[in-house]
Amino acid sequence: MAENTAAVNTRKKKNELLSFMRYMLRRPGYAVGLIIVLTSIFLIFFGTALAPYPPEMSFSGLERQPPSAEHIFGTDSVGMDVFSRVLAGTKIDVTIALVGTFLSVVIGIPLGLVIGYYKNFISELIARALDLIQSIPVFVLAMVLVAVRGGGIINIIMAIAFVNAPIYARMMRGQTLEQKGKSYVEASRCAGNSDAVIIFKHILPNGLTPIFAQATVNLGMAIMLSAGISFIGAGVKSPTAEWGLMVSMGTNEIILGQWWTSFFPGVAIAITVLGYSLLGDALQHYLDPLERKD
Amino acid sequence: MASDNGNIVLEVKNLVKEFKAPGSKAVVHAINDVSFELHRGETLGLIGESGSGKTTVGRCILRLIEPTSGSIMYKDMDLMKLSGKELRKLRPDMQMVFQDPSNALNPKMNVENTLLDTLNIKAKLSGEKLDTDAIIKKVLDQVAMEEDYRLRYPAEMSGGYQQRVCIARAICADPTLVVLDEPTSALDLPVCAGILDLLRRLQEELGIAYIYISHDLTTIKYICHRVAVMYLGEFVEVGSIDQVFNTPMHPYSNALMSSVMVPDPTKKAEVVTLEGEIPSPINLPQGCFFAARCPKATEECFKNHPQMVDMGGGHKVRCYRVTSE
Amino acid sequence: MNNEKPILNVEDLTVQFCTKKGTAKVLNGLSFSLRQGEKLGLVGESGVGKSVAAWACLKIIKPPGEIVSGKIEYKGENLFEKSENELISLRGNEISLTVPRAHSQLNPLLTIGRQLMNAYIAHSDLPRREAKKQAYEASINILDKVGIPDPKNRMNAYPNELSGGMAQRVVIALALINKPTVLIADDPTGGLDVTIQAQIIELLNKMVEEMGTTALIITHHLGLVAQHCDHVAIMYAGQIVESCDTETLFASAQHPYSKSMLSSVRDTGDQWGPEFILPGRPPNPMELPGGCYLNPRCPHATELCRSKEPPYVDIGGGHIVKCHFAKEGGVEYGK
Repeated sequence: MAENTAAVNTRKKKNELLSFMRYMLRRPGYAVGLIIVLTSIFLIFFGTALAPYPPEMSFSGLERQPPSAEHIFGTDSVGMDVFSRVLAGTKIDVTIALVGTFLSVVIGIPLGLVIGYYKNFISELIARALDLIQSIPVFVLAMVLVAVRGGGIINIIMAIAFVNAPIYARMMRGQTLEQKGKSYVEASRCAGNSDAVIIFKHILPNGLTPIFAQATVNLGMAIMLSAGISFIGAGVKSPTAEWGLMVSMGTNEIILGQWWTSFFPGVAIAITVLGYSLLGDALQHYLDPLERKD
Repeated sequence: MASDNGNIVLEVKNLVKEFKAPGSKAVVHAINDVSFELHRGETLGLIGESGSGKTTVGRCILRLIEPTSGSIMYKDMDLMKLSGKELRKLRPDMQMVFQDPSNALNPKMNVENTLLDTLNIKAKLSGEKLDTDAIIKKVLDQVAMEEDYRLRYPAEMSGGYQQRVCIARAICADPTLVVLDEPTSALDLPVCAGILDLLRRLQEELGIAYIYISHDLTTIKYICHRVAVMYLGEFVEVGSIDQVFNTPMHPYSNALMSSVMVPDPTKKAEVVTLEGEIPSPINLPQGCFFAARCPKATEECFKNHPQMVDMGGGHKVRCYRVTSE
Repeated sequence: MNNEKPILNVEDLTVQFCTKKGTAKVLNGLSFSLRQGEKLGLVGESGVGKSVAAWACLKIIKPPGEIVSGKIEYKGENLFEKSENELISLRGNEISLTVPRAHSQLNPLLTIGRQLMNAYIAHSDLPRREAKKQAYEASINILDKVGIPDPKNRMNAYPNELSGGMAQRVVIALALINKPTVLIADDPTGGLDVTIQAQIIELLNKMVEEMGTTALIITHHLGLVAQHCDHVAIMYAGQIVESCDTETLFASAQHPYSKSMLSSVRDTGDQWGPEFILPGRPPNPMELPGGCYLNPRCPHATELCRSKEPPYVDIGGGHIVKCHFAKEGGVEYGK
């Protein structure tokens, strides 16, 4: 019987994923988003391999080439192929965003659960502290963190995790407070469950859905953030292929009419952010019980 | 019902619950000195208006909220003195059925998992091995649910069936006491009748003691053996159904009984309408809590607080005008 | 009862709600009539369209709801043929409505005095200043009448400062301030404690008597009907399945659904035992069964019941039953 149930449950989950995919594909806007997201994930693994040239190698004598058949996005001021770098850049930017957001969710959810479930002076204090952190603009905070700890991919990930964790902690706290008021939580106490079981087995699954939707929307923002930090020169250093850095390197050349060095990575950022935002938006609408599902 | 002392399941003495009003320093006196006992296989009804503290009593007994003082003797243990772990061990013995079944079931758990949640804990805490599969089968049969409901989720069931699952969850661990907190108030009439019949049948089969909390006197009359009338956090009258419904002594019970609209047009009732509403539990009146609304109140009632007095046959009442006569 | 012309006559009223999921047939040929000065109880479980019937009487059904057919005659005039302006002057003035859960009906941003005065001014022909003055007087007067202590001060109270019972009183005051001819009270006792219920019903009775108002009381509380209504109409799936005077219903209900309702109340005496309780639940208005809407639940259902809608049969003395087996004198199954 137990295996039977488990089988039903996994089947249910699989169906859920499939029906969400179907939901997105039926709506042209969301379908575009889904394609972008899937492409970006594909490029994380195969972007460098698909690049026609080594992304971090400069070809002397080929500096500042406009887009052509050999270099479809042109080359930059040190002679690196922009197309290869845009493809390879996916790995850095999207990975930073994914890992950073994942970490912030992993930190935020348990924190939110605990401070929502136990209501006392300390949990109130933590909740107010989270409000305080959230009141500082994300970009400024991330910049300060990276400035203090130094550049590098790990530090950017840490910064993204730190600035986003309060969002999830607060959301989870709100969810916990709401779920705690429902009598099934009381019933599970009646059954003799310990606090830990009540929190993780009963409250967590019921409070998780809005967090997922929020996290997906935030992925787009995290891509912006990681590109932004590198753009202002606080993040990864040249010659790493990273979109923000590429845009920043190209800005000086725009006045010379060499638009392609910053235009293409810029477009890559815009498209990716759009893709993840659409996915998040779709997820939010899909999960909204008031909206009609098909 | 049973009245010999060897059969007492629960004995509550001087239960008090106070809590701070949110956002101010005022103290809310939710329960003021409640004492009663409950026998095996008996149903005690708690009636009272909203704000009378009846639900709080139910939750305090199970220590779902911590009482401020008093003692709750379950068999021969004082629940108030138990540590968290000892209490958890006793939990399967004392269950609760909640008011709104749609809220009382974890939406992410199907019927089987809901029951397993309770059963597994019982098995773990008591060290026994339980044949959970057989128990689930038996319990579903007891609450008159078909076997194929096993894998359904709460959202896929009607309110009546959800409440049946809640009852199944409460009885699956073989409890001695179940607190029923308005189990029918969220249900439609015919469904409600079915649930009441079910509860009554289960009691006969399993000998469970119920504490039935409700403001609906008709259902109380149908299911309870004894009844306690609550007003502003204390009992004002306790007695058998017959005593309290047919010869109510306290002026409040009297008014309460007369305001029931009997579904029989040939019995036009003489309604004693009370003026005003239940006072705030923050500033308790000095004398009898009911004095301000009581049609019979005298000077003494406003000055001193009356005590519960046994008027014979276990019919207790808290009123100067009744006890002094 | 008197046999004069009914003051409010609802005939064959059909209301549907068209949603993306399909068409919900909420009212399916609802007919009943209210005579001057009587109290009619409209009884049914949740979801049988009781509230929609109340809205239809004021023609305040909003899309996706739609009145498909039928007519409502108020004092002999068809409401559906009136212009919106005429209707506005009727609503809250001659026919008024109290909605259940009083707290949610009151505007939380306005004091109760303000809301009462607005209701009065809306139907006053006087110049604004005079109307205001009169409205103030009338509001205090009506608050006093519905038993709100210290009405002058309470005029400045906001709805959230009132208890449930008080809010219900204010809602009744709002409905009665213009001395309506017909009062539709939708679940007036819902969510209130018994002693407060008694207060509210006593108040309604007093008001109806003093003002000569005709009342339609929508409820699922059979005790309230038994004690306080002259006539009863039992509703199922947007239709009246049985209507008669109160004594007749409680003594000898004929329709299987009415019997089921009566026997599910545990205080109606011996003649309504649990054996009358029907299995199952009211049908989803999106997927109504063919023929008699009760047929999937009815133990007496025959092929006729599954294929043909039953007629309304007067079995004597104005006792109307919607059942194929109803005939003069009662219902006999199997014929």
